[in-house]
Amino acid sequence: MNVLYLMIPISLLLAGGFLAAFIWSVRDGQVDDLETPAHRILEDEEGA
Amino acid sequence: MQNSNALEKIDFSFLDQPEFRKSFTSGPESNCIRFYVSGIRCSKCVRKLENLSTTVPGLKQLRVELGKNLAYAEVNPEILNFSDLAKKIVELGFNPIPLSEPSQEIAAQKLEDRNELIRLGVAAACAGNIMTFSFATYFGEAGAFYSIFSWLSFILYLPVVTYVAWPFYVGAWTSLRQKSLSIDFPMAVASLAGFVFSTIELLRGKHDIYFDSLSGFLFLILVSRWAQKRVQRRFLRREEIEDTLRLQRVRVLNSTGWNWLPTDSLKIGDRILLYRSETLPAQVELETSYARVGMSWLSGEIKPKTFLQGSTVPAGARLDSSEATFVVKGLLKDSNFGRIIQEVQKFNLTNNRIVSRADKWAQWLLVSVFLCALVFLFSYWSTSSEEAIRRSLALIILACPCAMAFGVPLALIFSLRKAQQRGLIIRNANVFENAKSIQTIFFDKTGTLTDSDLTLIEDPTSVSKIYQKIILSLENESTHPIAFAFRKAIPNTDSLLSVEQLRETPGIGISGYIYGRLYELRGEVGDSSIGCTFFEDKKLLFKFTFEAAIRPDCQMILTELRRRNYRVALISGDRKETVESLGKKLGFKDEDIFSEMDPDKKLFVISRTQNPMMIGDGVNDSLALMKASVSVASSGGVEAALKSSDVYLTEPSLRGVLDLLDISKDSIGLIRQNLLISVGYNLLGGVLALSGYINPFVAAVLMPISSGFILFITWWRGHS
Amino acid sequence: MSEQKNNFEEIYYDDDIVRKFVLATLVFAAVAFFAGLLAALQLAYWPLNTNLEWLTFGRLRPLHTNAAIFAFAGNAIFAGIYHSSQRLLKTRMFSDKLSRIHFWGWQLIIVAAAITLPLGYSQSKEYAELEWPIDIAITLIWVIFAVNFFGTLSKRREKHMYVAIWFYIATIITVAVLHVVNSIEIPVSAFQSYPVYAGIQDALVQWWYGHNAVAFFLTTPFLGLMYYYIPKAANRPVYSYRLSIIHFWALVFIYIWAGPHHLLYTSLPEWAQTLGVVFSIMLWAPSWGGMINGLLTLKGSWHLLRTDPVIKFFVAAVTFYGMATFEGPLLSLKSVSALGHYTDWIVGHVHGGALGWNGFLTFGMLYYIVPRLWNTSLYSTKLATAHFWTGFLGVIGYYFSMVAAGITQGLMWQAVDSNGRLVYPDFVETVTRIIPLYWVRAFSGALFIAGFLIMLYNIYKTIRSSSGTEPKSVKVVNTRHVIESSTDGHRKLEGMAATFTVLTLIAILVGSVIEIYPTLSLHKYVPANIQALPYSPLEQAGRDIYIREGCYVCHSQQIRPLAAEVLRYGKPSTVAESMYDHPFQWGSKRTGPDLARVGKKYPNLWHYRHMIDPRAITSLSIMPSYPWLETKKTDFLSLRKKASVLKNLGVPYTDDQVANADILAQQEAKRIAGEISEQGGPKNLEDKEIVALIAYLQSLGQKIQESADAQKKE
Repeated sequence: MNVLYLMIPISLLLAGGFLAAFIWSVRDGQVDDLETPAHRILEDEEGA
Repeated sequence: MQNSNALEKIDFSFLDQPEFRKSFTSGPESNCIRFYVSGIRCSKCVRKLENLSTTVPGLKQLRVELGKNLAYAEVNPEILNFSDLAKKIVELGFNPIPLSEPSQEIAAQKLEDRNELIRLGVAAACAGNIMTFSFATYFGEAGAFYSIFSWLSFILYLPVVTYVAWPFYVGAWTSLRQKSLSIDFPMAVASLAGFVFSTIELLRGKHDIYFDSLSGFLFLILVSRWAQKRVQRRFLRREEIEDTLRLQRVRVLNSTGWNWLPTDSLKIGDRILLYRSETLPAQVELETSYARVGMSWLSGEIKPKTFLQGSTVPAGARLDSSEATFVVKGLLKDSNFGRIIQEVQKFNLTNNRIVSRADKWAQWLLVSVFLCALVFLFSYWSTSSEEAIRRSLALIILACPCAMAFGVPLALIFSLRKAQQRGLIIRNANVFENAKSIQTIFFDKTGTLTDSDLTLIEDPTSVSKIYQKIILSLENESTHPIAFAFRKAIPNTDSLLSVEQLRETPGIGISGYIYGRLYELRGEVGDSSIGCTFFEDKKLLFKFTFEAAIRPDCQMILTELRRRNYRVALISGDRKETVESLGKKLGFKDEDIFSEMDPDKKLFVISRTQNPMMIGDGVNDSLALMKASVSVASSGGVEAALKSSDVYLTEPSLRGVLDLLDISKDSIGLIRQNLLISVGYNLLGGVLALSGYINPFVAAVLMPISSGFILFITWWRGHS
Repeated sequence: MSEQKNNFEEIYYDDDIVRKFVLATLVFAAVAFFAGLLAALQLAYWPLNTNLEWLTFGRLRPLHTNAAIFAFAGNAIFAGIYHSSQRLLKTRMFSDKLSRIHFWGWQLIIVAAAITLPLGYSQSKEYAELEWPIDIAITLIWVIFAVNFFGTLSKRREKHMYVAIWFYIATIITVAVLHVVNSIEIPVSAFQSYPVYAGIQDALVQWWYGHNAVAFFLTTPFLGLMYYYIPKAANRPVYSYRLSIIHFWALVFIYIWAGPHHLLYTSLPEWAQTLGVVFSIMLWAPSWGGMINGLLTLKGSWHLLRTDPVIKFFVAAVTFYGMATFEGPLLSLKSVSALGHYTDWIVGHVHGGALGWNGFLTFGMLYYIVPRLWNTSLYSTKLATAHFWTGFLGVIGYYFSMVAAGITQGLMWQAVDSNGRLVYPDFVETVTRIIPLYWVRAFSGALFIAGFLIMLYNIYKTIRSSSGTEPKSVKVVNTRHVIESSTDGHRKLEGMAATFTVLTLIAILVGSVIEIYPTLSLHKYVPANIQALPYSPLEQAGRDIYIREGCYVCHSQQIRPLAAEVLRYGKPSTVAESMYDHPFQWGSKRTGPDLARVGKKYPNLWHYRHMIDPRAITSLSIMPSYPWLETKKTDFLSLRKKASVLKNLGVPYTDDQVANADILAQQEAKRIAGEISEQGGPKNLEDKEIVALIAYLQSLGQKIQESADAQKKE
């Protein structure tokens, strides 16, 4: 099971990466308004 | 969507004044502004507004926040100014109200929210990964990887014990310095003690490692706090009433004319100009010779008061005459009105008896738990030090005064909210507890059981049509209750006649010339009735009488209260005949009718009764109201009413009384239920923990569950 | 084109690339579906294996799975991502050039797969069969895709990143890591390689990859597509946007560890198995969060379900997703896995998801975007509805027939009478019993394809009716400044895209650089007195032939510690027995019996006759015939290189063995060929592949020696 020496660091790196992404998204204000985006996508100028 | 005609008349030019920009704009170049835009309901609205940025030159961006009805705009000031932007929004059919920049408080709150969310994220990530590794060890891994996984749990717990648990340490330390115990304390102790204990076990190569339980426990507590805070905030949000009343700007006079200025920038000595139906944003001295001003919001009087040049007019009064100028003598925030705005919107829980009692109990619980844990620790140490630590830790983690610390305030908040929805303004939440022990309910007559409005008793058709028209024409501009009564009774179909030399003299009546004849209406206030005589050229033509109508659902409410075994009594300062005739009509027993009661006598009756509720006029009955166990003001200005009463009814119906009683019953019942559950849980859990049946891991799971359970029950029962 | 005075620009989305991907999706859908149909028919009627080595089931199955996942689903994902991302981010793709390199590169990869897989160039790792040159190509193209995507993110004109974008990000990053970690291999020739992992290690890595490939290739991007296309098609906002954000983060944090549920009751350590079970069950909640959100988005528009085929497809897709994500955790329970593992139930589960969720979501998406991409309207709603019902029946028929087959077979394998003996000792009995269900499945698949063909026609007519594909310009604002009045106006990490890419690369590099070969020892798990012997060079040659022919597709090599299984096959497999297996051959399906202890069970002649014509041994066998094995010559020369590589990977060959691998193999081959002719078979087989394969088969289960013989080397 020595392969765990590889898999655990990789998984932790991935988890850490996603945590960093989460922190960035909160700091950037991505989670401030969780209502309007759902509506915004419906009204594109272009029909498609 | 609003009537755009009405909107187009609104003048937005004040938005371009430099003083305005100071407090209403933001951004490094002061070119960003926030609007409150009511009427945004759907995706199309979002699109219409946001697309303005591509159709209006100079509008760099416009973003809508649907949930809060906000629109943020960034402009290029060289091309587009704010007033034109506002006009464009109006053209789309929306009503934009510029908002002043959020206070430091709100900005700080936003930052705090974000930090809390990040803390939650870190807690979740660490707890989840720790659990992965510790589960592996539980599921049987005992080989080389055991110590690796354990050390990984330790490393992943470090951010938890420092960053995630930080607010608990701060809270615990603060409360300790104030010589009290807050609920942060056990969390802080558990987090630290658990960390130390587990680390020592880890170093010794043993198995009592609890990083997973502790991190999971801290995560769940953070989640429940987050949820609770959001609920609390949603129900306690201070509406920006000033913005809705358009109090944010005022015309300030200068040498050349007048300018719009933000109210915040008013200084004492400024001269301001108001038009009809605008509200005074400051305490002022009247400059114009005469002004008629409505004071209903302040004093409860429906009839506008007339002020003469030089008199002081309070802030919050509404101008009833067509225009007037004033000199500022006192600022809004220092005025009664300004204070009311704040007080009325803010529910003050700190003086609440139940909450303080609950806080005390919570503290006692925590102290006892800690004492128990310490005692147990010392006495069991000799038997097995590890077991002693484990069980004490379990006890500390398990014990939760959640029902008291969270449940009681939450229940009260829901009740306050419910009350608010039914039109009750409550001064403080003690009233719920008091209402439960009410036995007798005293009703005042005028304004409580009867309308403040007058109704014409005689049939208006007994007067010929031409005289009806004359009466209406005379009373056309009057705001006297008699005038309202006439207007209610006589239908107005044709155009009115023009009146020469119209004069309304307060206390006397109204007179004027129509077709060369002098017509007069003279008011007479008798003991039990209000009357009015109609003269043509000094000759008496008609006599009218008015009465105050009984409020429509009185009978029903009284019946219901009797059904619930309350004793109901009628107490009034009016004459015996009037009061007794009303009393009999409404089914009051003879011994329960008190007439010709002046304020002192009312006070005497109230103080002799056990557990009385008094419902009356906030101003006139203030003495009696203050004495009653529960006092409800059904009329009178809100400021005065709230000085003397616990509750102010904003709707004319007495339905609010029943609502109050119902809500109180539910509220107290819920609080008692929560306390019972909490006590039971803590007792049982404590015993099991100290007997060794619950280890810290299980305790860490149970505590958030119990906390969440109580919150859930409270929400469920309180919410519906 | 941007106007300086105005605050907006007029841009054009690159829809040409979307059209390309759409067409590629359709083309390879046909390939994948027909390959699947042929494979299904081959199981129901074995002669359809033909006698062409390139079309046997063993070689066809990887072609089918790769085509379905990477060619069909992959192109569909790219079409959807390119189409929706540009609109969500309000900008054109970062680089038109990169878009096209991505497109053509990907199609070339698929073509390479279509050529190499039937030729037998396979690594036998499921959904990662493609050999090392193609693995490298995939990495390159994926990096190009990532650069293009993150570049587009960085120049977006819409500040808020819609939830679909987050799903795409998770996909791109995680698939990259998974692919690289699972594909660490040492080439031995232009088209063959050995993974650095062996046995149980390889199993763990493979299924860590395999399950997360399902998660991050077949689920997360499709969830992203769902969150964009369902609201657009129904013209309603997502039911709870907040829920979608929460379930995204929950999913992303938990998915990674569910892999071991593919290895229950194997020789994987107990704790790892249980971990897989627990996490698989925890996964159920966020998955259903997505399903509920998708379905409830249609609240108030349920009437569209009657009239709009796009909505029909989407609703069915989300429902199948819910089913599959419930069934998954269910199958992860050890007791359920004991019954269902290696049976067709798993196949049913896969296809419920692949056809129902991926397939139907793709079809719905295609019906939605094709008319828009070609500036016209759908040729026939009636035909689309007909497609829906036909396809739906196909999926249902497929699913139920395979679940029934799986449970039947599982129960038959487990059946033990009161005397403790197997009720169905002959494996083939359990096969023939379910052949009728194989016909039902093939028919259902044909129905599914019929629906697809209807769609092809419909889309063809739609595109034909197009008046042209002139792009329409879109006005977008010039900036995406943060308009916030709060003090927190930082625009930190605008280069987050760059940071992400760097983080990913570091992870990948770290993974690739850690080559664990000498330390990949399993001492802790192998009792000290047990010694495993490596394959002899001839056996190794035979093993590579086994892999080439895809035998692992139907035969497993892992006996579980379950009573009936031990009765049928022998002692449960141990970790030591596969410790030198590069790659591991535990297998995941038993269309034929397990082979872990087939060594020395039958004489060599038996194996010879069985390979040439299985029906000579078992009259009802559905196994293909392998006549070319007695005409193709074994490649002895390459054995030296192979042994050398394996030695570097930790297999204990002596230098002598490596240097003389070919000679040693030839010697052994002569011996076996001699035995075959002695036993009555043909002569002169010593240089033929069949002898190598027989050598390998005879070694299975024979490689463990107790310490007394520990010194003896083969």
